[in-house]
Amino acid sequence: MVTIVKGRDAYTHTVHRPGGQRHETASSDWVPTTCRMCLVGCAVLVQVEDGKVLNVIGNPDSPKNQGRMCAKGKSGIINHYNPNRVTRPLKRTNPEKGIGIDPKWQEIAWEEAIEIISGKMRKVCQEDPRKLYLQLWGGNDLRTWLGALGPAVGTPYIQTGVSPTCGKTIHSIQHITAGGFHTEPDFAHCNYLIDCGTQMGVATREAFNRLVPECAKARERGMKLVVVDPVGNNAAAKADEWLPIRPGTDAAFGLGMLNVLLNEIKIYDAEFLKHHTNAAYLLGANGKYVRDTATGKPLLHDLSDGRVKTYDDPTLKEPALEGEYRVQDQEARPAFVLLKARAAEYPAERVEAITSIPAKTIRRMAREFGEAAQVGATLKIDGVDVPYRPVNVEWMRGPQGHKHAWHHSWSLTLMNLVVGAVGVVGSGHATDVAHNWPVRSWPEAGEDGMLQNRGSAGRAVGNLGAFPGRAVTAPGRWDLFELFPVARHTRTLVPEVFKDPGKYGIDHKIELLIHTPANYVMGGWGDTKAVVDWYKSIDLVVGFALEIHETHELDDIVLPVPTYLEANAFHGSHVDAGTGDALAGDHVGFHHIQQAALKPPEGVRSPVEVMMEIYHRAGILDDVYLVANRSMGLKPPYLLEAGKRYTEAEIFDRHAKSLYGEEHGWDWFKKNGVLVHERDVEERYPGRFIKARIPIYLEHFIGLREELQTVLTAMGLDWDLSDYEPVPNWRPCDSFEQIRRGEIDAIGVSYKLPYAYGAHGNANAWINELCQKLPYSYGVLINTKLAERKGIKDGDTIRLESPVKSVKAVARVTECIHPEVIGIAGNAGHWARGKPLSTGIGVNFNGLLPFDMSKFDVISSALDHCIPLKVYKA
Amino acid sequence: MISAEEAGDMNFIAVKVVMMGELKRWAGEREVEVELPDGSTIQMLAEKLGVMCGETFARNALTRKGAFQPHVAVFIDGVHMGELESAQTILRGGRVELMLLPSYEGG
Repeated sequence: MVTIVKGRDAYTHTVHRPGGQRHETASSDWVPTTCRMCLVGCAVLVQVEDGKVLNVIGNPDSPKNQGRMCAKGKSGIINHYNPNRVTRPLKRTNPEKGIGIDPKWQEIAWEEAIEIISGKMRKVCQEDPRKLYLQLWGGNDLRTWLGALGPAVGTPYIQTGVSPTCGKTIHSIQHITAGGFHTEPDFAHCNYLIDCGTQMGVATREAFNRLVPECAKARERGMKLVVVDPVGNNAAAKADEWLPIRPGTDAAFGLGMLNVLLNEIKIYDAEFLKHHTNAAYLLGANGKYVRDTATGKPLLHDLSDGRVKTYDDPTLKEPALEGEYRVQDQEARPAFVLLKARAAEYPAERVEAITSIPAKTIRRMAREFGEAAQVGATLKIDGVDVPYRPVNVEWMRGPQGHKHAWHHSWSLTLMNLVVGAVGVVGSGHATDVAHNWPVRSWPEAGEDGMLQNRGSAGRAVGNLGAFPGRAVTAPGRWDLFELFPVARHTRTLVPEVFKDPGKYGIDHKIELLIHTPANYVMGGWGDTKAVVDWYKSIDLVVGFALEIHETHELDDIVLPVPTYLEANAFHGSHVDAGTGDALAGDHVGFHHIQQAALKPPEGVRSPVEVMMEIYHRAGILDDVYLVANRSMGLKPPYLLEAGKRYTEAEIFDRHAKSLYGEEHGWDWFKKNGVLVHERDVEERYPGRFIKARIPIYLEHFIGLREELQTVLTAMGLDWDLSDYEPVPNWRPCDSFEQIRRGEIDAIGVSYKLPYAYGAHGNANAWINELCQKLPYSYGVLINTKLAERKGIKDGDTIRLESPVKSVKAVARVTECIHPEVIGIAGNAGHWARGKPLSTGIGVNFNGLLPFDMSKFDVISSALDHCIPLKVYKA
Repeated sequence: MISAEEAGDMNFIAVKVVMMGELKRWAGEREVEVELPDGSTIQMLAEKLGVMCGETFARNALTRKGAFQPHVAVFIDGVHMGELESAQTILRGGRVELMLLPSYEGG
C-alpha cells in the first residue's frame, strides 16, 4: 500500500501493487532502499536473512521504476560479496605513481587517515581554497556533503560527473528551453520519437526501468520510433527505422529536417513561436535585437495595428514572424527569418552528402514528424486544455560528444521548438521543472523576457543555463571556466591545461583531491597518459573506494565505503536536495530513500560522518552546516546548529521533517521507503504555464563572441570563435575530413550497454558473465564492407591505432554499424590489479581519444569523441 | 540612483549580506552591511552590491544588467528567494545570504 500524502484526494491507495513496506518476519526481512549500481537510483526491496542477502527486487511502490530492476542492480549482490573489496583505510607507501606501478598499500587506522586529510584540508582552506579539487560522482549523500564545500569554503572545482561528454550541452539547453535539468518524453502520449545518439526508451537514461516498458507500450499502441545513430545498438533493434548517420553530422541532419519543416512543407507552431519564444523579436543588420530606446527592451512588430512594441506590451496581439520593418532608422527582421534562412542552406540533397542519410528519407521523416506534431491540438488533462504535441527528438551522448557539440545539440533541439513540442502533452519534457509541493519552485523569466531562472530548485545545484551567460575574463581556474561563458562545466580541460599552465596564467596548484568511488582516470577524459600526469602532480589524492580500480592506483589515501546494500541516504532518487522527483507528465511525484539492509564490515564507516569529522578538525564544519541548512531547505526547529555534532540519521530526520512535516521523519521513511504525492496539471505539463519566453535565436552569442575575442587577443590566444553564432550551423570534426581524404580507415565511437555501467562494470562477476555470453560487449563492431576490405573475419584479433594509443581487440563483423565506423561498447580494458576479473578484457574507449585544445568545442568544452582510427588485422 | 534630496525624505533599512565561498573572495569580505531605501527589492540589492563590492564581484556574481547570476542562490532570512517573489522580493532588513552554487553535470 502507498499512502498518497498530498493532493486533492490524499488517502491510502494502491498505486501500483502492494508490497513496498518493510516486512519483517521471523525468518527474513524485506528492506526498502535504493539501488546504486548506476545513476538512476531505482527503488528496491532487499531480502535479508541471517545477515545475508537472498534477493533484490524492484520496489513496486516507487513511480521511478514501478517494481522493475535491471541486471546491473541485481548484480549489486556480487559487489557486496566482492573478494577484492577494501574494508580498511589504506596509505600508499610507494612515492612513485603511474600506470602499472604498485602503490604498495599499507593498512592504517581511521584516526591516522582522518588526521592526514584534516591537516591538508585546513591548510588549503586557509591558504587558498582553489587548491582543493573534488570529484563527487555517485548518487548518495557523500556527493551532497562534498559538494557543500564549493559554497562553504570557495573551491570552484566541484566535478560532479565522470564522462567528458555528459552534461556538456544538455543541461545548459534544457535550462533555457524547458526550465529543468535533464530530458525525457511523455511516453504516455508520445506518437513519434526520434532518438539521436541515445537509447532513450530502450537501454539507457534516467528512470529507464520505468521508461523502457512505457516505450514498449507506446510502440504497441503505434508510436513510431526512429533511431539516428552510427551504431545499430539495442535501441536500433527495437526501432521502426534505424538511420545509420555518419558521426559528427547531427547538426546537418537537424538543419535538413528544419529546412523541410520551415521552408518546404511549412509545418510549424506559429502561435507558440509568436507568444512563447523570441522568434518575433526584431533584429538589426548586426544580428542584435532592436531595443526600445527608453526601456532597453527588445521590440516586435504587431501586425494587428502595425505598431512596434516591446515584448511585454499588454496590447501585443499578433507579433510578426516574417517581413522587414523600418524601426529606429534601420531595417529590421524577426529572428524567425534568420532561422529559416539558415535552414534553407541545408537542402536534403546537401544533407545526404554530409550525413549519408538519403534525401528522400529526410523529407519523408520531416513530414511524418511535422504531421504527427498535430500543431494546434489540445488535450484535456484534469479538466484543463493543454497543448498536445505528441512528438519528440531525444538527443544525448552522441551529439554532445563532438568538436561542434553545441550546434549538433541546438539544431536537434530546434526541431522540437518549432512545432511547440516542449513541456506539453506527448512532447519531451525537462526533468525537475515545476513543483508546488513540498516546496514551490517554478522557472522564471529573466532578462529580455527569456527563460533564465529555475525558481527555488537551484538551492544545491547551480542554474548554469546558456542564458544570459557569464562575464568573460582572463582565466584563474585550471578548467578555463571563464573562457566558456555558457558552458555548464569545463573540467574536461584540466589535464590539457596542465600541459602548459603558464600559457593560461594559472597561478595556483591543486594540493588536495578527494574523489568518490567512480573511475575518473578511465572514463573522465581522453589520452590516459595526460590524465595520469595531472593526478601525479597533486600532493594528496584521497579516494573513497569499494575496490582498487585504476583511479585508486593513483591515490595516496584510500577510505573504504559501504556498498549500496549497507549505505544510507535521504535522497535515493534525486540530484537536487531541495525539491521532489517525478517523471514527465506523471500524475504523482515521489521521494524514496536509501537505507542499510546490512551492517557494513568492521572498519567501514559512514562516509558522511567521516567527512564531517574532517570538516570539524579542519575548522570549516559550521560553514558547511550553513550551506547544508539552505541547500536542503532545513527549517526551524530542524536547522543544524553551529558547534553541534550530528549523526547521519539525525540529519536525515531533520531533512525529512523540514520537507514533509513532523509525521514524516527518517523513521517513517525507513518503514515505508517511498513517499508519493499527487501533482497538479501545471506541474505535470508546465510548458505553457511558465511565464517566460524560449530562445530560437541566441542573440547573446554575438556579444559573447565579441567579449571572448577581446580577452583571447589580450592573452595572445588564437581560437576560432565562428561557432558563436545565434543560429545553428554544421562544421566538420577533424575525423570527418580525415576519412574523406582517405587518411584513416574508420571513426571510432562508443555506445552504451544496458547491463554495464562505469566503475560498476565488468569487474562484477555476474556482469562479466553477461558480457562474455553477449559477444558484442567485449568485441568491437566493424562493418562487413570495411572488414572485407581489410581481410578481417568475425572473431579475428585486430589492432586499432589512434593518434595516442594502439590496442588489440576482437572484431565483431556486422551490418549493424555505419560502414565508416568502429563501435566500442561500455567501459572495459581495465589494468588495475584490484580488479583481476576484468583486467585486459575489452577496449578502453577513452584511452584512445586524442586530447588537445583543438579537440574541444569552443562553446561547451565537449571533447570530440570521433576517434580517427587505422585498422589492421593483428 | 536617488538624489540626496530624495534620500532625505526616505526611510532606510539595514541588510546584512553574508558572502559564502568564492563570493567572499570576489567581494573581499564575508559580511557587508548595506543600507537601502525602504521598499527596496533583491534586484536593487544586487545593483547596490555591484557598486559596493567592486568590479571582480560584479563581473562574476552579476549579469551584465546587474541582476544576480542564475547560479547565485539568494536566501532571505533563510528562505530561498524563489519561494518568495524572486528578484522582486521586498527586503525588510535582516540577513541575506549569497551562495555560489556548483554545476551538476550528470554521469
